[in-house]
Amino acid sequence: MKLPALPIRKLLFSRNAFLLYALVGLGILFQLLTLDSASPFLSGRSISTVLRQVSVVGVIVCGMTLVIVLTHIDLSVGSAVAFLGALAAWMMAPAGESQGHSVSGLGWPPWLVLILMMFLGLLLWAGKGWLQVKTGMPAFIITLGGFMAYRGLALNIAVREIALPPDNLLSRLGTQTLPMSLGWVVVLLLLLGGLTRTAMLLRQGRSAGWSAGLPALLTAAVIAYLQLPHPNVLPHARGIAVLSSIWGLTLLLTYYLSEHTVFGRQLYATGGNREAAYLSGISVNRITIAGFSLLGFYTAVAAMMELGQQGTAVSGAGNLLELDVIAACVLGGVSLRGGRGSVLGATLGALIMQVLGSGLYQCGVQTGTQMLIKAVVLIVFAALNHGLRRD
Amino acid sequence: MLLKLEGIRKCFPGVVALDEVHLELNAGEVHALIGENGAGKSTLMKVLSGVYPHGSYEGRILKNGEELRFRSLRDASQAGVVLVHQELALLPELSVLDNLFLGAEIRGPLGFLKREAQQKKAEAHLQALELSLPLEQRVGLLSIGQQQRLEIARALLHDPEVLILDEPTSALPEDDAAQLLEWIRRLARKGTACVYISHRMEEIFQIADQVTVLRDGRSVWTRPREGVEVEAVIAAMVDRPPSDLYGHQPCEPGELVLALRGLRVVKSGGCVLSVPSLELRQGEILGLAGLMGAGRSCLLRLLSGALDAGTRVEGQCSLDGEIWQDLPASPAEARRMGLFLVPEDRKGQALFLEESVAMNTVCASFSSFRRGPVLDHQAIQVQANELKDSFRVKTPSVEQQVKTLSGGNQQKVLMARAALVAPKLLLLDEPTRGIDVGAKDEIYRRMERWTREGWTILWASSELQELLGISDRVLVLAQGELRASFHERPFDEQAVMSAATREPQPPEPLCL
Repeated sequence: MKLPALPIRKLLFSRNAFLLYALVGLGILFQLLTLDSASPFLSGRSISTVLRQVSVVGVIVCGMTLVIVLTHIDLSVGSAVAFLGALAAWMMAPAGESQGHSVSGLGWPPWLVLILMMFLGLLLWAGKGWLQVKTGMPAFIITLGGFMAYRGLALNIAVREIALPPDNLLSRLGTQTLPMSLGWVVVLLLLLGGLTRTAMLLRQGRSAGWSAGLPALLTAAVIAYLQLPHPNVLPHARGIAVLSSIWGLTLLLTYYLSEHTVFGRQLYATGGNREAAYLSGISVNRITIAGFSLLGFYTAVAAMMELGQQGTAVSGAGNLLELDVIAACVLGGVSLRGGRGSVLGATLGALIMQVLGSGLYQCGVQTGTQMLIKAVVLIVFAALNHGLRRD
Repeated sequence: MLLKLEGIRKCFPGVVALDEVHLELNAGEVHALIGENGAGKSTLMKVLSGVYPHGSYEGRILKNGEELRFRSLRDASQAGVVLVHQELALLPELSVLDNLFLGAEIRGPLGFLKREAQQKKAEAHLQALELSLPLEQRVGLLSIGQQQRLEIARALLHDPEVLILDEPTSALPEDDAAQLLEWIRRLARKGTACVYISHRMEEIFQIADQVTVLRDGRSVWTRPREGVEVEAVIAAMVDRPPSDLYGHQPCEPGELVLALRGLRVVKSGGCVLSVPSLELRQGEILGLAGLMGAGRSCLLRLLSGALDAGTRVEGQCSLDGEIWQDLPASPAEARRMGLFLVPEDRKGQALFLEESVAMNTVCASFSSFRRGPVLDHQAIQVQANELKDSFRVKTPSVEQQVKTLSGGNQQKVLMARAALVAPKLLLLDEPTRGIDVGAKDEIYRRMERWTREGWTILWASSELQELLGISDRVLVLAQGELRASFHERPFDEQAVMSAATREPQPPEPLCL
């Protein structure tokens, strides 16, 4: 059987390839700059930390990509992380003034609160999508309203910070790593999945097969690396954080949804040319509402992850998070004009931003300077993106 | 003689839009320019007004024996040639005064606006034009007729010698249009040379001193209006050597597919389309003739379930001769009823430019490629490849982005999309616009084949020749009304054009 030719140019010069080069380049750069420190940038510990820290942004990026592809945008996700986190913490906090807790909550079980919050996220965002569709208002305005309202609610609920009850389900999920055995199973599944997909596409004679399995194989390699013993890493902290694996699962789901379901293709069609989609018989309004709802669901998931990671809910949580998310999408080549850009690219964008942040931090660069450098990287990449599009 | 155009020739890639056009304009006269859609009227006026700069066309524009070389609109207006566009180019949020001086503001030494000076000049100007407009009023609140006058007044602000009016009455109700014409005629008498473009035959005969007919990019003749008959103008507009390049096989109409009754579309108080009844039978190709804005697209969009905001629709339809029901409320519903539209604006309304040829082919039929919630990409590839070959779409692969294809091939992708939907009644709006002859021919062949397979086609085209060449029946729309229908091939091109451009004759009084 004849295999389709290896599309070397396409493989080496695609947008995602450039993002990957940038990511690896930054990793190596920071590794060289931090060689003398106790845990250099590419040590298992640092990588694990970066992957855990990017998880919250990464989950929201998945949903934001869909909304931006629909030509909309959402400014309210950062405030919503604070609001949903505060609300969840209050619901779980024990009732009454017992055990020295400052806040009297409802004392509901974590699993119930978890489900409630995801439902609430879905509902709130479905409402926003509905409002957009019904009034034709720019999503910018609607979500600017959300941006203020959620922060206000968070301030009202978490007047003082609300701590999670000890040994809460959320805090365990937020701080632990996947058990070793499970980690290896994930590696194995990713390897198998990536290879099968490549083999399948190549057998169909599609040259895209050569690159299709790459993301899975790369991810498998990184996880395997983290599973190995590292100096400075305690045995029970080896492997990949639970938060990171939740993010990975979200990514996989969203990728599959956008590329391989009718909903996903209709979403890209709606964003690419609303009129044409409408005339083709696609329910553009339903697609828009569904896109927003998905972002709401992901935002709720991210809020719970953030709460679990921090262990306490504060009203200032998720401050300016929406900008990090949008920056990651833009960096990853998601077009604000809609219809264009993949969730994989946006995820690479989020990783680059996180690596830049953590790397600069490890090198001892001040926060202000960090932001300046990030801004320059964002603008340069966006300019290159637009330049690349000309061709 | 004021201005003379000599041997104007203008080519676009693959098309000669103008060839050997001659035109002479005199001061104080209204010169009407008439021709079919696509005869080259607008292109000619863009050459004259500097939209197409000197050097992008051949031939010469002479003024008192000297050649004029405009590099831009601004150049032309400084030389006294001003174009008033068909679409209003006013800013609705600004006042009448601000619009009047847009781009020609009177400024003081520090760059500040001198509003008093503007006000005075505006009052004097409007008075000279016998026009009374509230200067502080927001333009959006004026009637369309007032806006049209303001637009002309703006063009006249600098006393141009040549004023070009491109269908100024197309958006106006009839009595308003008559007043506007009278006004323009009086303006011209004051010494301006007016070029007047219109489709409405009555208007031309009401206003013009000279008439020039354009056909297929050439000027046929220029004659003084006195002594010219309407029939002679129409004959000159459509006169072509008789040909039947289309090889159309007339069909035997079968069962009733769709019937309409009492169809009316009402938009902001006025009726924009009115079709009392319409029947379509299986296997026939019904052509909609008419000028731009006559309501052809409106009718096709309506049947495809696409309703524009702010319009109200009355009327009912019946499928396959069954019970009367409401018209489809959405394209999705129209799909279920077996109606599907390939819209006229390929890039704006039909294609997903960033997506692949394959996605563009199957996007209206995703549901037939799903296994559970999952899309079967392999099946899509196979199907898209099959259709690509069958429709002879020239592309290296179906994974190619559709925006890299030529117009003709993009249109074939849309036809393939329709083939996959397989509607009972296919609606085609200008399926051959802007594509090459070979692709056009393939589209004609495809339409014939579909009707032999039992589809019915309702279509509109601005190219009268092809419309008459391919259709089994032809309906003529004008100003939103059904004006005439033709059942017998071969069709009389002059009669169709006459129905599309003339006011309906009042019925003969009955002799009792």
